[in-house]
Amino acid sequence: MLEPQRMDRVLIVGTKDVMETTINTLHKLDVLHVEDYIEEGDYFRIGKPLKSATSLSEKLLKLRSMRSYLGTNGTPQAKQKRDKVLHDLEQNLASLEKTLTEKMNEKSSLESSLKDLAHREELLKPYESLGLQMQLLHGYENLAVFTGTVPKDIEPQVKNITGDYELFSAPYGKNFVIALFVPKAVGPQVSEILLKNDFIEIEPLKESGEPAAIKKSITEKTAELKAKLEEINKEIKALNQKYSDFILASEELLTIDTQKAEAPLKFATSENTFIVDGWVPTKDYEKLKDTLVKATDDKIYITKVEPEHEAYKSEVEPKAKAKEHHEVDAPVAYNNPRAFKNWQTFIDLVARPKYDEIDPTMIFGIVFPMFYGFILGDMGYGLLLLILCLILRNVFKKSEGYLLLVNVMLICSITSIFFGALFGEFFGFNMAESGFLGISLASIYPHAVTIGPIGPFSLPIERLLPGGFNAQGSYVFGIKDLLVLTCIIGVCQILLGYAFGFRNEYKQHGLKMAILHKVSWVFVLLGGVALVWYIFPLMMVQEIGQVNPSNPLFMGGAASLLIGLVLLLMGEGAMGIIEITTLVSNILSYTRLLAVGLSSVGIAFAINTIATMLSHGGMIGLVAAVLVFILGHSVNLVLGIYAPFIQSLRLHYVEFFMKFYQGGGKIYDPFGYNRKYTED
Amino acid sequence: MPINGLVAIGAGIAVGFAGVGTGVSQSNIGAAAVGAISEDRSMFGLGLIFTALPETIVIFGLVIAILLMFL
Repeated sequence: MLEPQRMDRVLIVGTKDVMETTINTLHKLDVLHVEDYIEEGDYFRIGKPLKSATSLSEKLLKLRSMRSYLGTNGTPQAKQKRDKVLHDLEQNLASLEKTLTEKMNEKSSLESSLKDLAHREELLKPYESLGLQMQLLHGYENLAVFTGTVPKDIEPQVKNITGDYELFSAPYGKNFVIALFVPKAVGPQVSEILLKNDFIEIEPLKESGEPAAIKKSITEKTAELKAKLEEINKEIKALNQKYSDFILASEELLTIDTQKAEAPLKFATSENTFIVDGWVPTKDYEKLKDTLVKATDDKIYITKVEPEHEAYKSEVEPKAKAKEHHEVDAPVAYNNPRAFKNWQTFIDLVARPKYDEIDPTMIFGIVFPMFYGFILGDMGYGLLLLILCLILRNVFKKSEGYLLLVNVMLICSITSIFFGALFGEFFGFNMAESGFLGISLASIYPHAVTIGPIGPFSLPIERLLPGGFNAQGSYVFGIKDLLVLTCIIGVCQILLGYAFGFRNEYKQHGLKMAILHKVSWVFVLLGGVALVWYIFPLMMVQEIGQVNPSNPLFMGGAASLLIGLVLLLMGEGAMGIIEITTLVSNILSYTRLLAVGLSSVGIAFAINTIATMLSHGGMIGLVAAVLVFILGHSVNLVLGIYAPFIQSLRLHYVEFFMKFYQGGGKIYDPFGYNRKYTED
Repeated sequence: MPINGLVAIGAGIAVGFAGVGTGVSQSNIGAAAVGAISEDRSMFGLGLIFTALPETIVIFGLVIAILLMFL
């Protein structure tokens, strides 16, 4: 539950004639996390892949490239039989590859021709504006021709150099496109003048005929090629449709076979034997052993071995003691009840826990939705979110990632409705008083409830008001009570964090380190809380002088703080003392549970007020009121979905996890394959 | 207790300037986080956390404001 699955380290030893059987059986069982063999000494070598490996990976490469060309992306249909797929593979692969290569070549040549045409069309544009026959622009012996663009009329300046010229000019965008013919003798001078006037030469086109006619032929050609390209694309699409099942199934099979063929690369082998070293979940060990022994007719030896211990890299631990406490380098698989599977992703987002570390998934899965609900805390928004999630669940049926998020939000929406009821909020309306559209739940909420020492108090809790005694004389919890409550929640979660931290530290470095590093903080925290609890109310009424040092709360707090500080100094030195400010800000950080929610209610309240004011303004006012109401609440809902999520996530990741969590465990990746398209 | 005008101004300043502080730090962190994510998608989670870190500052401001207004 709170720790990852227990693993056993196993050694499998056998003769090489049963190696393939062993590989097949292991692959089918899908439980053994194989450790790579690192060559040491002369006797054992890293195994060689099975003979089929090269041809298999060649085929796989071909298939994968075809898949990426075709864009095959199927959903699993009926599973295909292995033999049939292998048979198809022999027959189809070569011919399919040939067809596809032809099509792809044709496609790419078409595409490059189209690109050329588009380029020519672009070049032709200035010539079109000019409207001169193309053959007139080049091929002269005694004339220099300048074609290009200039920002202004340059005729007067050309006239200064020579009277013997011919200038054609036409507007082109913001500039003018010109064709200037002058005798070759004055060419250099004219060129100089032109460059001074920001003349930009356009790329010459060695063609002949009217530009308009050329343009027409280009357009026709483009259309023709485009039609061809479409044809080819259709053919490729048809190929994809026809062969997608085949490609997906055979890719899966080849992947599996390649995996198997390359498995010996992780084994240690001698001339006639092989050794597999790996981890198996403790609960699966017997099954693994029985199945393997049966499959190989008892020709194999399996044993559990004591895991090799690696000393913890420790900053503070004295070297002499390094032998006592160790890290087990086992792969980490989560071990949570099914209901909590979705939350594991959020732990992985930080890092996989280490093997001998607490796995906080379950705490996260319980507390996160509570925090979310506390922040959003509105029946209306909760209901909308719930409906949205139920719809999206059907939309995202097949996409795992989104489905996970939707399922998580579903739980959060339910807690939001719960807290919404507690706060009596419905789209920012106070349901215990005025209500919404005449519907008020005032009669449902209890008054003068007494639970143990608390009471009489009444519900709902006021999130927007300071709270206090109401007319009936029962207490209504308000902002300041919630502010204290959120701090208490923070203290509780941080204490839990230290408890987890104590356990981790104890397991990794022993009792002394655990006390110095974690218990010290608990003392500091509790002492600090006791002192604040005593002094703060006095400060508020400005009677700080009344502090009575012999008050048991004050004395206890001070003593606890002092013990904590001493332990902290021993454990972490002066840096620990500086870190106390971090602890204070961590606890205050939990007030965001109230603060973020408050801002969301504030916005909702403002929208409602504006809408109510508008609705008194006749027909137009009513329409505007409805618009403001819908638009405002939509925007607020988007914020209301996003902000609580980030904030609760952050409270866990930063405030909670920092107290105990290291992460960085090796992810359990058993030798096997999750088959979607094929079966034996 | 009717809320004194100066108290309200004080509360406003507490939230406002704290918000500016958060904004300044988040702008830098956010830009860096987006850069990191565009290099490596798996940085998304971490980037999100880093970006949300300075939000504490404005919440301190809000707490002070609430204390001013209601206590």
